[in-house]
Amino acid sequence: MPHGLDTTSAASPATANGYVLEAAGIRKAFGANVAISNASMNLREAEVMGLVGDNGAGKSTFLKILSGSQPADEGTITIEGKRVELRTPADALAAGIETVYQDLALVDTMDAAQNVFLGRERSAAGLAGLFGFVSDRKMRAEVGELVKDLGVNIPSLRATVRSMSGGQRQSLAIARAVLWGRRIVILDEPTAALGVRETAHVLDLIRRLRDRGISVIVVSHNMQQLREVADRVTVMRLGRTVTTRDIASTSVEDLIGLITGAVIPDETISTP
Amino acid sequence: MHIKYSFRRVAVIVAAAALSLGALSACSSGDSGGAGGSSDDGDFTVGVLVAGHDAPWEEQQADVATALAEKRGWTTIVLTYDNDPSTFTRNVSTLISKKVDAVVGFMVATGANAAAQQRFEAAGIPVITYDIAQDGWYFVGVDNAASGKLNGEAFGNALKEKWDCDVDLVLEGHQSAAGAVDEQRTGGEAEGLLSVCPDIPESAFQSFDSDGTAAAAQPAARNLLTANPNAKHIAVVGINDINVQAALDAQNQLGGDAEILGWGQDGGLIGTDAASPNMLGSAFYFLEGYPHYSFQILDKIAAGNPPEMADTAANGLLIPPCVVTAAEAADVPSGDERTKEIGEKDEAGHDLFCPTK
Amino acid sequence: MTTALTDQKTRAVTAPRPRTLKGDHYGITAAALLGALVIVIVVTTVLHPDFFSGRTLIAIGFTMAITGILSVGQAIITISGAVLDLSIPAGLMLPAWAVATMLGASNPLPTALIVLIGVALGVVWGGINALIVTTLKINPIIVTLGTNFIGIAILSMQFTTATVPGRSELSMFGNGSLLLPNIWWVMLVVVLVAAPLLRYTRSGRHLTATGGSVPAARSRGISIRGMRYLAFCTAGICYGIAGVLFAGSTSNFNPMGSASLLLSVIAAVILAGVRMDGGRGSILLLLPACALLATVQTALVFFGLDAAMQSVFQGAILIIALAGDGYLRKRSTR
Repeated sequence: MPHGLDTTSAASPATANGYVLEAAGIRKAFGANVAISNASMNLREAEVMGLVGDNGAGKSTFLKILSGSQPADEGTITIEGKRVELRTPADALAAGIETVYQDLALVDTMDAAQNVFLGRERSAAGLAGLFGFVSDRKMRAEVGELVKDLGVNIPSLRATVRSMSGGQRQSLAIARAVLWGRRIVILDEPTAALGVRETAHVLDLIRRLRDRGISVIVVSHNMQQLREVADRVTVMRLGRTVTTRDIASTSVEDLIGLITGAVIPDETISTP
Repeated sequence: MHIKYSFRRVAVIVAAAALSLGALSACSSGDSGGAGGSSDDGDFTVGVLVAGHDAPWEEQQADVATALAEKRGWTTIVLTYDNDPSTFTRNVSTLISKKVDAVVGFMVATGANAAAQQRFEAAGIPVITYDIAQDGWYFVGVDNAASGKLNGEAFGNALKEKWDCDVDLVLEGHQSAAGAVDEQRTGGEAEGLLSVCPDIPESAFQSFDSDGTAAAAQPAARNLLTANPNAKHIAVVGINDINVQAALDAQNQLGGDAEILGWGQDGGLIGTDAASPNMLGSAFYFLEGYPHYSFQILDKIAAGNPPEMADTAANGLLIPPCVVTAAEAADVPSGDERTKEIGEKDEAGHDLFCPTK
Repeated sequence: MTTALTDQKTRAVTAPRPRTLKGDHYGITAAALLGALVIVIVVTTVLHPDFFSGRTLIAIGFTMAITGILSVGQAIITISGAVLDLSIPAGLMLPAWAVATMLGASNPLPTALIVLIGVALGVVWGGINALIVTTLKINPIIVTLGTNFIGIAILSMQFTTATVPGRSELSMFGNGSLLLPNIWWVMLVVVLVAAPLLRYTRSGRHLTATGGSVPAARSRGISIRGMRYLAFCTAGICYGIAGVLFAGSTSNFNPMGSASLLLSVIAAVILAGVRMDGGRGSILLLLPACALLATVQTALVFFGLDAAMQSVFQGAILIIALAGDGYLRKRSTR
């Protein structure tokens, strides 16, 4: 572990029922258009949860609510037994939820270290730090160890993100989530634009996150990948979460059936 | 752009801005047009067009015109167009619809003047224009050629006395956008200076140009002074006090042991704290008093005896400049006082206030 | 798979890279600007030896001082992603007019207090722009175009010509020199303070990130609204300082008097290689950029070229700069 990484504390005691995150009865409408009518999710400690659904099923809205990009109209979100209000991305970050967006949310004109520490810069020592000065040296060293530890291959810590490939950018964004995600990391289509080799690397990164005790939500269209990496999967259909299944006991055909509505779930939410 | 700015929002803002501007201009013309109303009642009504608020004399001209009209039992309609051609054109329509008997004013929206002339002529309304000539309009304006010549000669005499005409650099502060006026004033002042001090070589005369603001004139003058580092006696002439003062300021900034003296025109700064002691003199035009001259023409029109058209700066009614030294300028009353007195006495500013008449 | 990963691990780049400014062209831009500056100075001096003098230095110093301070404000706005502040003429004129009026009062306040009020008015001006930009969510260019129009119009109703008493402390300071004009030294301080604040402080980082990508900055918990206020108000400090110095070095001015400065300021920012889309730019490079523009202006007078030709040259420099910038950018993005 690189020094200064506070990821070990992620394995902290969760609530009595063992859920890190409980979202219940989430509803979100944009004017007359109801994007989510009723979405719920119970996320265990150190598990990878797949979130699947057809286009327009409400996945990305649900994700935006969990990441604080958009406040929910109704419903409750509980983190480790404590009710939280996620009205802005800053609220979610403070609650320990890191999100890796599909558009990566990296600043093209800044370098790797600046991006990883954006919003949480390390202060310079002494008086300069009190005046708000940051220490690029410290941050570069930490990011250097982080990328080495995660096996992320980026050309240079000083190069702007603009000059990186899609895989490098994705890896960097996930590395950032690893550094900061104390409890929960949300990944939105993390492998959508990647080649085979880079995809394998990203899936490996997801497993490493879980191994550190972090709970991961992965939104994906790729059922095969989910079977490889996820523990459970939540299916959304027409603005509702229709079921949550253990991935090991669910076939790809069943999943597709649940997504399209061809298979009707015998319960709304599994509560093992 | 990373933020998506809704076009509808922009449209709303633009519309709101347009509306508020429209409302503003409606208010301002409504206020100043208070003395108006329908004027087709046998009364003699004068439309007064004010260009804007760029200088105090613009509104003072309207004040004097209103005072002189009251003296005669006439009515005035004062409209301001803020140097804007389309507002000017609207004002023209207003005056025509109110059936005024004559129009006087400072017509700086030169692009719109020809069309306005045709419409006033069609409506049978005679017009008197100040300083800016237009075919078909009576011309009343300062004698710029005389201003240039007389100021130049006065400056020359002063330099003869101080430096025995030993001048190695003459800075000409032009405002070339003013066209013939610039040539008559700035060029004229240089020629007047040369007529007194004929031994100044032609190469000593160097020009800078500005838009009439110190912000543009100062760097231009500064660069020109820098390019002439060996001049010991520098004389500055210019279209107005601002241009001359800018050169004096520039020399002050550059430092060095060269001596510099200037002589302005238009009286904009002379006699005030803002004029450098090195500005020896300038000329007052008493612009606020122009209505005294235009009302002489109006008197004849009102009497049903309009004078023959004199619509150029050559044959129009020319106002003599009042050339003064800085000391003399300090004794001239302020613009507000002059405005009041001219309005009361209906005499020429030159006769009332010029210490060198 | 595991072999592939270990392979990647060993290839992960953490080895020290040469300490070049990789990914930006600050080095190239600086070299180009300084090179052009040297060429202009050498050529003019060879043909007109008088050019190389302390007097020329002072003239150039005066010309670049106020433009320089304003361009720091403009660069901050541009880097923050608000593209351009077209309200600079009003933002300068408001404090300048207030300072001139206060200095001319029969019983003037202490100069230090007048200066402070002037600077504060610049900040207020920036705050008004930020308020409109953030509440109405309109493109800042359109907002500042409008506020400039309104600001100048209102100032025109307040005064026709402002005059600054020549014997005031501020005028003595504003027209004086110590090797270079006093106001030039103030500009240098502004640049040397602003540059590290933007580059190495947390707020500066967040401002730059907002310019680089609003969604990215927002997703890291940065308040976009706060950054807009920060950008416009910091720029307002620059306008306030510039306005005070403008009043201190210009004995009389009218409300339209600062309109001609806007184009020089934008030219300087472009010349310094500030990315017009935001997110990137060096405050330090404004120094050689402003110096080049001012030096060319003065040099052209030595060649006897008139104002119209000077504009032609300034335009040509800008086009060359933009072409060079475009070429570098195309090359760097492959």
